[in-house]
Amino acid sequence: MEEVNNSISQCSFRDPSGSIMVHDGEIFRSVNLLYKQQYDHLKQSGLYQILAENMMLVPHCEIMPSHLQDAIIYKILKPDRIPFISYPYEWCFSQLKAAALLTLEIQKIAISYGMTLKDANAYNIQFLNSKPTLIDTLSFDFYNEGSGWIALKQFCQHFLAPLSLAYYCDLRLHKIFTNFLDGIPLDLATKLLPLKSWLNYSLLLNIHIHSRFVNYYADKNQYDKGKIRNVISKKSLIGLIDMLYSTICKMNLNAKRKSEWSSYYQNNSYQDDSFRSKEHIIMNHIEDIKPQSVWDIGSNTGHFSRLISAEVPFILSLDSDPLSVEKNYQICNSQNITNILPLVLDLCNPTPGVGWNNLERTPILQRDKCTTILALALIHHLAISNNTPFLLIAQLFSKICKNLIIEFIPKSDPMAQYLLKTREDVFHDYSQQNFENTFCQYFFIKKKNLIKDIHRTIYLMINKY
Amino acid sequence: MKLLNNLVLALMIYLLSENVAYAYIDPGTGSYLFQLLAGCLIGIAIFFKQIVDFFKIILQKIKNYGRSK
Repeated sequence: MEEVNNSISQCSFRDPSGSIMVHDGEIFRSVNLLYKQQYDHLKQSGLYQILAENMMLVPHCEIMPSHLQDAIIYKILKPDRIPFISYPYEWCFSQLKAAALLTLEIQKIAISYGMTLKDANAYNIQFLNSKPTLIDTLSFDFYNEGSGWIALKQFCQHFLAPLSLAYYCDLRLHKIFTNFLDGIPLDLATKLLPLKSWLNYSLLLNIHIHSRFVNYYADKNQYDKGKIRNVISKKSLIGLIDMLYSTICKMNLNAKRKSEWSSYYQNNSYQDDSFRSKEHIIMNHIEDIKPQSVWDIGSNTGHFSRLISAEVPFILSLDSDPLSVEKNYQICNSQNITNILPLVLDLCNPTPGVGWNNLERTPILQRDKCTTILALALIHHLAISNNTPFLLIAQLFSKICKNLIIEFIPKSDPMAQYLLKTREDVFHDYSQQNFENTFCQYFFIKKKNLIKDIHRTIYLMINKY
Repeated sequence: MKLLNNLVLALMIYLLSENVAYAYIDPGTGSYLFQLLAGCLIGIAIFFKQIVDFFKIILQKIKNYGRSK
């Protein structure tokens, strides 16, 4: 156990009830003696069972090594494995909305079992089989009627404020999360939200008024909690939760919202035959290498991720456009595809490490290794739009994948010409020969297929190292 | 009722219009007192809704009695 204790995760130090430990690549959660009563109630009351059966709380098994004699640890849990850890600043609007609604549902169920969520942290939610799931089993505390919900402000900062900003202002504002680990401060949200949000009764109460209460009492120490207690009835608390639930449910992105990328498959250089040819080539490559996981980078609305989903156990479908990721997520949900996780990622500026020592929330490219990268219709954006040399692109891909399926788009292609339309062509090194020579420093080219009727080539490359 | 609630809220906004965030913030105090306000308002709304529902049931019973007669 000593070696396990030494591997306490860098993101797990705030909660005295327990911590996350990593041992031989496996995740464990310790339950400290401090949390014994709450944990026992969670299991014995039936709350754990009902949440785990409905996949609202990640199931776990208890392991208790016979040689464990620890003055602090009560139990050790081994939760079910989450295929990929993601963070709220990588989620699309609907993913954050689903996580918010799950948090409220869990809080309501917990109250009926005499418990309450002591924190409403967006980082406590992860996606398992494409559904949001609470992963912090130690997030429950006893509910004392009249005491209100201690995590309400955190809920408003982690969920209500970012959802409102995305809904009323711009989807790209989810990026603010990287700067504010404890959610978007309410006083910032109230300044950014437009006047229209003041007409929404729930937002007026839970963001605008709430922020003023928080700031007014921030430096005042006269408030004595002992004098005001047992004032917020269970009915009022449930009413408040229902109001938040209803407000968030009603936030539906307008179907007419469009971005530069959301209609990509209607406005590109492919004819039907060429497109089918591309699909056929990619399926052949996937059947050849049989990867355990695929990162589809620049996936747009996820067409090719869904194409290969029957053959690959887990697919990370990544795109820099939040609206495209939103569409991808909604299509996967409607088709009940559970092995694809769409996330927002700009490969030219991937999500960094944030928090304490820049390790509390790890950079996305270091979070997990993937077997295979699918980089279709991407290279010209990296090399031309972002001025990234082939060498740097090859180096990056060689660090994160074993196999690479990559599409080369020649300068003569209409989409490449579109990128060069309003800029001087300084990309003298952008050629297929140079592309092959550079990538061959890091990869073997196992297969090379020309797509029918257009001059694009799809390569299957295997990492040399 | 909604108009009265909005007037009360508008008055509270005016009274608490200081909007500067301090570096060291007590995470619980303001939020807890906010919950008292929100709880009160929701409690009042639930109370009036129960009264309205009560009278709706009475009216329905009177209608049903009238029809059966």
